[in-house]
Amino acid sequence: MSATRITRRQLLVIGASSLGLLTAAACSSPSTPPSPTAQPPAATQAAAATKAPAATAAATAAPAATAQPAATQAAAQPAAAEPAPVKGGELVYGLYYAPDNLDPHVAYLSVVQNVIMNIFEPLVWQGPDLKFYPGLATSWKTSDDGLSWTFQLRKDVKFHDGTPFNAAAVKFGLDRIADPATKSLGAVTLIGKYSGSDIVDDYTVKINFKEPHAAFLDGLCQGFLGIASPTAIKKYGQDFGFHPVGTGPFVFKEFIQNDHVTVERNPDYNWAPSIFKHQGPAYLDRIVFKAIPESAVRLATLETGETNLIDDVPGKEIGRLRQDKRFNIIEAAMPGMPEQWLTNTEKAPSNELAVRQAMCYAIDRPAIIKAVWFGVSAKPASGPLNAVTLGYDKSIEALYKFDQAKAKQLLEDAGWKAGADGFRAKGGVPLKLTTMYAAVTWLDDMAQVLQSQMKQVGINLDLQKMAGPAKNAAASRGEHHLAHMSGPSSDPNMLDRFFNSKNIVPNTGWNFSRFKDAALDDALNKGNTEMDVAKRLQLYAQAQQIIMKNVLTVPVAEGLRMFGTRSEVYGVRPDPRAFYLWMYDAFIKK
Amino acid sequence: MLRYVGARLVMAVPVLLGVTILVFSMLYLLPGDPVQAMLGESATSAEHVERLRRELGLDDPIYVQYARFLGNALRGDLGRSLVSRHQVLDEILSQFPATAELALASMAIAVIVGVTLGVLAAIRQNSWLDTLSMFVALLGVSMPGFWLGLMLIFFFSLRLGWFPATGQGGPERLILPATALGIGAAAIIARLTRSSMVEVLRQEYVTTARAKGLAEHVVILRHALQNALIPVVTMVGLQFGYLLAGAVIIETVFARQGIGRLIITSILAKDFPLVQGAVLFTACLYVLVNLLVDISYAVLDPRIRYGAK
Repeated sequence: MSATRITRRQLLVIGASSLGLLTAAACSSPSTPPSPTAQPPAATQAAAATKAPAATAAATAAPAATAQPAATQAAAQPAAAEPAPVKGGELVYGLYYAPDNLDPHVAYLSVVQNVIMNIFEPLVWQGPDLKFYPGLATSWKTSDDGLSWTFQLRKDVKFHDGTPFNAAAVKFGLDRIADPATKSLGAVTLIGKYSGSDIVDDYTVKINFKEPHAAFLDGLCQGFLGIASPTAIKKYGQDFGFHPVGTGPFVFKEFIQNDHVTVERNPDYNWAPSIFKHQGPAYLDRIVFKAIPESAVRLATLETGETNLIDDVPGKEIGRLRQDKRFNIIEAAMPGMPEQWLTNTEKAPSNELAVRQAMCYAIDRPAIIKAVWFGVSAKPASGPLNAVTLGYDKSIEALYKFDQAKAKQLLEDAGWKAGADGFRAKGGVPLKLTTMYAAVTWLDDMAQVLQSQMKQVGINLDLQKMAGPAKNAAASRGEHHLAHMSGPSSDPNMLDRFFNSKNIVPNTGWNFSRFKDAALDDALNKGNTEMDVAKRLQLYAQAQQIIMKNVLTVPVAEGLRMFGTRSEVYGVRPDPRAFYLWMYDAFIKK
Repeated sequence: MLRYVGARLVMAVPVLLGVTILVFSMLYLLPGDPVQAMLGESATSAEHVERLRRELGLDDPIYVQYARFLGNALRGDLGRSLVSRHQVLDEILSQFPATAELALASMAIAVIVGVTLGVLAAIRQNSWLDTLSMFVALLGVSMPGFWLGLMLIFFFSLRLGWFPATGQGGPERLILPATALGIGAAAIIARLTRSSMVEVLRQEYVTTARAKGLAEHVVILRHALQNALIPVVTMVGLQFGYLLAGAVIIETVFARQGIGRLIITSILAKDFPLVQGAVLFTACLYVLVNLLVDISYAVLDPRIRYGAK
């Protein structure tokens, strides 16, 4: 995801800016807080995943897992007390990017989930507490060897086309995702080494894997694994993405590409999961999703009333909107990786631990957040995961506190002496670090503030802004000292891609730190397949400690998304992933 | 004339071929592995990336992919979008009306505003009207379309509430984007019309017309303007190409449908077949417009006869 994000943002800049477009039109909102935002296509969350696979998770109420997340979860803040819900009305939601295919099994843009999570439903939901709750599945358990999961399904659910939801539909969907002919882009990354499903009875399905897939529940609760009507898929084939049929509280009505998608209330809906606040049909008559890529224009439509909910309000406007009674801001902290600089542990001089540690002491994160994100509540990051991520290890927060004197001391002790220009050198070799990032306005801002902070302790950052994919390719070959990275993910297994030494692969690998450590690899490998939640999170805690003790990354700020609503909109809550909003409880009361 | 048109159409073939080769190679010259860039870190494994590469037919050598694309294109099959899975041609055709509407509306604004300003400036040469017109023209050509678009939204949607900021359907949603897009071309047309008019007004036949006692507006509009417009028509044709390019930005700013928006999203998604198809389509359009411009000369100026030796 994230890289993708950068990548595309970047591309956009390439594509557009030659025309003068600038970041603007691009999709993104440069000035918005860290990550989230803007990104276009963030893609699928990859394997994101999850939590709790606990072994027998049970059902109903609170799911399985017991493991708790260290996180505090995304905070939505309802402004003022909510009035009693009323039925009716149309909500117009300005998306930051245009959905291009509403087939959950094929699509990969994260923005697509905003739409499809209203039309389709997952087997399992993740609540704001990061625990898993029954959705179309009422309970689930895993086999002792961790190779299969058995789900009991609801018996009272119908697809929008009137056909019944059952075990065959679940199997059909998973088989379809796994079938190469489907060319699945997003969903396929969530199903691990899926080997097939057995229909135990009409409402019991056993899903099998070639090796344990610890993050399966996390994948299951994403829109990409939403359950679709097999009848409709057979009927529409490749065009299913333009005629989506699911079981959700809203029924697909219309999709005009690059303009809008309309969904309408499903009057028969009566199987809401317990994480929502009401039962029965949704309150809104209709939701219109309008794609408005340019952030300033998107905000203008909120102000004129053309939309009453928008994605990603630019950071510099947050203060103004907060003062204005006509609007509310919904904040959602993103799980995943923060804005950070991955350090190359192979190439001198960043191969020296003292140099890497000195950077962690020399960075003044609140100052960067203030300069780059207008002080809008993005939190300083302490490690390779944002605090709201499942398995976040709080202990690393104590490792490095802003302390310039300590940074200087570390460098002195390691033999790096300051020269006349203030920059340090050792044996004639200057302490100069090649710092690579995608050419995006706010990243440029962040790099420059970092450069000035590092200068204060004698480290010279050589800033190199590049096309996003070029940055990723160069960093995968180890040509950098510092390379920017960030990215949403709801499961800590994202660390595997960035820190497992098997992913040091020139041109295509994501391990930019090039740190080869058996204990780290072991923890990350086991994390993918460990079915005991508590043990699994322990593995990721170890990984985070190894990563930060060796400073494989210099974290800066956590991701935060800011949605804007008009004050007549109530009941909208962000999903724990912060990728999309829950609309089922939403209503409009002027 | 027919021979001329035929020859021009034949000449368009290498142009279009060149365009496809350029676009094809550009997609591959972009840094980074295409499949990896497409998936981002969501590709959990190298195995995944390879599988998708195979599924999308991106594992063949580039010349094989190009030949396949060209062969299919000649049969009218531009393939399916990698993302939406729609036929590329269907996607283009579904977006084209919005771009056509925008381009025509902005061209109308450009011609009306540009010619009016130009003529006014020419007949009141060196007056305050001339200075003002040319200043406005200078402004128009200097303002980047996306900035002007944002300003128009700011004043006319946000402050005054006269027009909706985004979308399409109805003249009220067309006027702001068409103005943002057309004003640059209007400025260029104004300057050209002025200089062309000034030159024509000095010609002897204009003096003759005046000497005959014709009313001044007849002299200006019937005699002078018609001749002065010949270079302007060329410029209008050329500007049409710029309008198509500008539509990329304006469609994004105003969140409109269109070919430009389609190109942007398909580039971002690395949706190769769609990028190819959309660029090829735009190139065809450009060639066609240029041809029409050339033909229109003959209509406007009987002295020009193509193909006659």
